[in-house]
Amino acid sequence: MNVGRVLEIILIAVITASFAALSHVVVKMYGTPYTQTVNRVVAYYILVEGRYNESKFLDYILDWAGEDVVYVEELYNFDRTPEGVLYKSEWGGGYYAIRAYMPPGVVIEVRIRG
Amino acid sequence: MDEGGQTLGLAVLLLAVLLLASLAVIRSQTPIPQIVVKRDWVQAAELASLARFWIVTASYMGRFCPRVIRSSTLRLYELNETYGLDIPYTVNVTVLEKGILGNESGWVYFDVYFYRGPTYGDYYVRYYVRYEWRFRDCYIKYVKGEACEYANYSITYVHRIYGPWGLFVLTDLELKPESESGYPVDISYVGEGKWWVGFPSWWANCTFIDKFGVRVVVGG
Repeated sequence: MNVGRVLEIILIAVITASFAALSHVVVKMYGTPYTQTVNRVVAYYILVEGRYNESKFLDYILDWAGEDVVYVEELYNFDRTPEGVLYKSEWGGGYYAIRAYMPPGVVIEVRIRG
Repeated sequence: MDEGGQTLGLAVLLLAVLLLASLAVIRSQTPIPQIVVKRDWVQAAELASLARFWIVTASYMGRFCPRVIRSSTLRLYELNETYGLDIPYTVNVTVLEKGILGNESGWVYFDVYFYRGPTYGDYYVRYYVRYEWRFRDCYIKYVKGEACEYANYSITYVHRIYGPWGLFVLTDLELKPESESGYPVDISYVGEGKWWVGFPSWWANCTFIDKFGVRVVVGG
């Protein structure tokens, strides 16, 4: 067995090991650019508005990302029963979901077309 | 077996040994699977809103209250666990400083940092609020037929929010007087975070509230 063959075997082992070394990491990320757009619209609302208001939020998000948003639900409200589903489009395909805390104490879920 | 076959067999054996050894080392060094969550702006904005809440309470109390910070953080992270909000765990640093030179000028700033590791180096989110006031002059205003001396002040007031988005500056913060009185308070927004305000000169100071509830005290 010549030196070249030995080097080849070592190289294969090193490459396999380096890929295997990262195999324990699972990356959970959004699948589409639409999701990022809506994520940033929600973030902007949180930064600019002092308090969450469901009708104002709905107008805002549909105004800026109405084509991408397929579902909006209020999951939790600190001082009353949550409103539940605020908006539902006719989209029948897959979706990605963003959950966000809206000050002063509301959790919403926004689904974005996949 | 010929010489070529022996060489091939040896090569396969060597490769198998090296691969098994590599995997054994990897297994021993990383026994727990890890999940990397790709976060975007929402999680950082949620922490910014938490910082803003602390600043609102600090503007009333004159200091950052550890009890408020602890309870509001616990509440947010309870919701984080329950609803899977993916907000990362952070360490915070709060700063409140003020300087007042009699009735001539003064400034106050609130600064909240969130770090995802040790409290040096790059922060994840920073919320910075600063206002500065300066006495300009006096003028006469007629209130219900009475000539009153009003003190005229300039205010510079901004919120700067640092995060994954870069720098986000809020300037028109809709300042309003905290309470009504028989003497109206003059207030006008000039632009770029600058305001002119006027109130009776015999008042020690005048308090304003911004759109988020932060208290801004003008005067010594």
